Amino acid sequence: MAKVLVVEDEPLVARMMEKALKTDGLEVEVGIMGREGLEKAKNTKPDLVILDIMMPEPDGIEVLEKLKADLETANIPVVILTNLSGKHDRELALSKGAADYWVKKDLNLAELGKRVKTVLEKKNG
Amino acid sequence: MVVKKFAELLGLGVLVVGLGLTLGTWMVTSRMVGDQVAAEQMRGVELMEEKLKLVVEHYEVVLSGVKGLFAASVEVERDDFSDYFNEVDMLGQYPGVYSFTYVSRVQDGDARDFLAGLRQELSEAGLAGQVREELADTPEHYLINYVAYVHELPPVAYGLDLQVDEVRRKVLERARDTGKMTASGPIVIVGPESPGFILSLPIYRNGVAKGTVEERRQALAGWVNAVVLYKDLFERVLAPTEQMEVHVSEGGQLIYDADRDDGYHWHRNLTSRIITVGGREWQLEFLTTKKIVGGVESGLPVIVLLAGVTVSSLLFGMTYALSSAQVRAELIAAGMTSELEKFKRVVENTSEHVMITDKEGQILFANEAAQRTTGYSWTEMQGHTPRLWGKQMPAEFYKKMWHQIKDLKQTFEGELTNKHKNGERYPVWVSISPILGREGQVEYFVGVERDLTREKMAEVSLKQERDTARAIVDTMGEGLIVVDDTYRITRINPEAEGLLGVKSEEVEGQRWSDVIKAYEGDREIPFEKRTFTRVIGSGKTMVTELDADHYYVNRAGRKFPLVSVTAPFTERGIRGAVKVFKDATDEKESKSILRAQASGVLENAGEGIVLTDEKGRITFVNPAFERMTEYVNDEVAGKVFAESFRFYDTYEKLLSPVELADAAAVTARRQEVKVQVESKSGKKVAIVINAAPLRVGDEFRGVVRMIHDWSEDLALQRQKDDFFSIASHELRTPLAVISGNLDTVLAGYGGSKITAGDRQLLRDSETAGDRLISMVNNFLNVSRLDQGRVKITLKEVDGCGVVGGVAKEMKALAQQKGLRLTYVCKKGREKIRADENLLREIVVNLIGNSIKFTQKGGIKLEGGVKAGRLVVRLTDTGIGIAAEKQKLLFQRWQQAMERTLSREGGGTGLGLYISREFARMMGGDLTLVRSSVSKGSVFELTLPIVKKGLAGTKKKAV
Repeated sequence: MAKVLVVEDEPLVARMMEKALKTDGLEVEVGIMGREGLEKAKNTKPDLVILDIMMPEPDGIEVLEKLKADLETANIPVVILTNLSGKHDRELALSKGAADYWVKKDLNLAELGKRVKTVLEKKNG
Repeated sequence: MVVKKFAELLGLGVLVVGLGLTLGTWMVTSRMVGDQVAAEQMRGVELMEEKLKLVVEHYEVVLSGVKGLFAASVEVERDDFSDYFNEVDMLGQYPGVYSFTYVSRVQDGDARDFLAGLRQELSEAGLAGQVREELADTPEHYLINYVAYVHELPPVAYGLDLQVDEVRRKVLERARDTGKMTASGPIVIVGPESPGFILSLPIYRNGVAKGTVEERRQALAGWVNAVVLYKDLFERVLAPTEQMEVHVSEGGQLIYDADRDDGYHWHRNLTSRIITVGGREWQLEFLTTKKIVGGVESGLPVIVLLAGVTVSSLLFGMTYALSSAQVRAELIAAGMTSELEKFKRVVENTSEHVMITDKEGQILFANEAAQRTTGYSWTEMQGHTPRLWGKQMPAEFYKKMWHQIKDLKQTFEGELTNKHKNGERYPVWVSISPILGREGQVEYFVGVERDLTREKMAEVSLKQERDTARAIVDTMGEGLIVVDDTYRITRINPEAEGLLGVKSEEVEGQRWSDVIKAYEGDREIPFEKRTFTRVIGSGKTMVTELDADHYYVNRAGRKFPLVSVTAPFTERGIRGAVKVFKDATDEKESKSILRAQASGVLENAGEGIVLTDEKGRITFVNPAFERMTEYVNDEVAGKVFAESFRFYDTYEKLLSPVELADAAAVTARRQEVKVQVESKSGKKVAIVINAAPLRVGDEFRGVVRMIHDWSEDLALQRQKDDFFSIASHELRTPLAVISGNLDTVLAGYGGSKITAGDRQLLRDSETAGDRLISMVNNFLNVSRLDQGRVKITLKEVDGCGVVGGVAKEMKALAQQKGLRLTYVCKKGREKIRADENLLREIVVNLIGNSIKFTQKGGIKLEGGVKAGRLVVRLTDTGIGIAAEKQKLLFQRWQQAMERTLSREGGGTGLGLYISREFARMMGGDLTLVRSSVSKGSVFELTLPIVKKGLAGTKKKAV
């Protein structure tokens, strides 16, 4: 079963996503805040990371950079899931190595699982 | 035997009779034929004679026309002379012509100057070297002044003195004495070195030949000549035909024969004619060929042939004669018209009123100036005589005038009064000349008039001006002093007397510097530095302004500040100067008050004020600005403003001086811009700069900038921004959790262990949650719009592409509900001007709405270009909108009012109101095209297409 790591600063939102993804048949790890997120990434080796940007230090971009810098985690695809809808933000994230950039308000929770699966399929072949 | 003899006799008789008859017929026929041939030949003769006469007439007409040129204008330009001839088909109209010349009569004493002048005039055309200088040994000279050539031959004739040659002299003098066009005898024409002759028409100073020879000799001004080559002329006009040839001689001397060598034998002289050309007699001998004559005498069979020939020649002759008459008429008409046309063109441009009437006075021609002066247009004049505007003078005046012109056939010159079409009377100077026909009878009148109104008015106004000037000087409120070049006072007006405390009798004739002392501040100004001294010395006007701090001390000892203007004048070489001055005490006071006030304003203003000169250099900064930037005036004065500080834009990017174009100076318009300026201590201060150009009169003198400290406003702004972000985030996050979790449970998380009742409750909660989300979104968006917080960046966007992208993304969503979603865009490479994000939001909203409100069928998106706009039409097969609800569709809060909301569809809560506002912000619009219940709806989004690229880099104006 594929494993997804959710990195979020709001526990409520994190749990919501966790349950939703589990319903779609995915294994879910949760990291609250950037630091925990980085740790969990290294320890649990997920197949995909869903990363929020708007977090207090370290913010999502920093976390992304660190993930990509660390050999152990560099190959894990990171998808940004955020409220920020600006093109700048999107470009910035993608330029830092994000695999995709999803805006929360355009997203249906039910879709989340499907999208994640699509990304995983792409990665695997 | 008797019978036999009779028969013989009869036969013989018949033969004889027959012969006799035949002979008789032959004789009659031959005579007839001979007569006919002769008749036809005579017609040919007459024709040629006519033709020659006609050509001579033509010459006379063209020469008279040129004479008209000289009569109409005081000065005839060289170009006018050539232009007159340029337009015409010279060779066509004037067969044989080589050139036309104008010969001036020049006294011996003036000859050198004349030739020098001629050379100078011609040097401009590069012909100076061609001017001859071969003066005859005579008291006066006849010098060729103007030449118009037919062919492109080297000009050889300028300056030629025709006194040098006997024949030429004779023709000129005969023309002068007779007053008529005169032909010369045969001469060799200089240039082609060919025989020819000169036709000369004299031109007199008063326009028309006077009474006696003596008077004519006096009045002669010059001649206009046509130089004609015999060969060319006769070959054209008297061209030999098959039957005929002409020889021309004058005074027994043959001047032309056809010189043909084609084997014709000239037999008899058909006839001779004499024609008079310019007072000379030419004999024309018409000769016929032998062939024709011989044909009648020899052999009978020839008669038949001849008869046939004769008939056709008769026919030919007739048609020839008829057509010749026609041609002749046309030639005359063409000749006259083209002469008039030429005359017209030359005369059109003169500012003098020129008119031609026939001998009854009917106006034939009036130039532009004439129409203007009299007020009548050409059409109005036609059919009338000048009495239209005349009849202002007493009857005897006109009687005398016409007596001179018509009876004495002289030019009349004098002053008279005319009446303009609008009734005004105006004075004119006139010159009216009769134009005489060949027999000396009056044919036409030509009149030249000059409007004297302005001249007369000028006289009056000059006197008025003098009187006015005197009055002004005496009553003006400023002092006026005039000094001569020895600095003695020549004139002083009453005001100056008052100011200086003197009387003009006392001071006139005295040295100015002795009368009045001048001071600059406290120091007395020495004589050399006094204004009058400097003005008279340099010849330049000087102005003494208030800040020059000049004072006069008057007789009473009173010292007063003055302002003045001192100007030099020259009058017939005498130099002096005039000064106008006034007591500036009051002004000085008010100026210092103003200055104090201005200082006060500048010093105490809460806003920063920066003044720069026309080069952008700082001339002044006020205390408020000093406080803002922590720099003092002295530290920055003289430096270029844009380079004196570090400026940043609102994104903290450092702006280079290059980017800070001094727009106020360049565009001369007010500019307002928001930047941050770095203070001396490194603090960034948010400021708004309001720049306006400073003008003194028309001159750009610099820029004044008001600097407003924006920091507080900015902070407030930021707080509001923060509130919105916080509100958005904080409101949405919990709502998302509620909604999301409900969703998850309903989707069967952890098995389906919920009852149907539970399910219903949960569903309702979900619905309520969606509504809440929608409302919150709507509220936040509307508030943002209201506050103008919606950041919009317009760029060139591929509209079709963006719409297509959204459609693709939402296809899955539609399919989930079992709906089709299609998108088609028909356009070229046109881009729209839009904000990509806002556009996406609009489209997401529209599609989302459609998905929400459509249960079956599908959604169709069509894009196309229409009338310079991108039009995106969305058609759905949804539940439609009832007519009465359509009115409210784009109202605010509308979506919040919706009762029927389904879960699906992504609740952006954007609302059609907001979508439309976004569309309008981008210069477009969003409308409902039509909708009907259970049929579906059609929406249309339009956005403007970019005509050309948007401006590139934006300079920050500081």
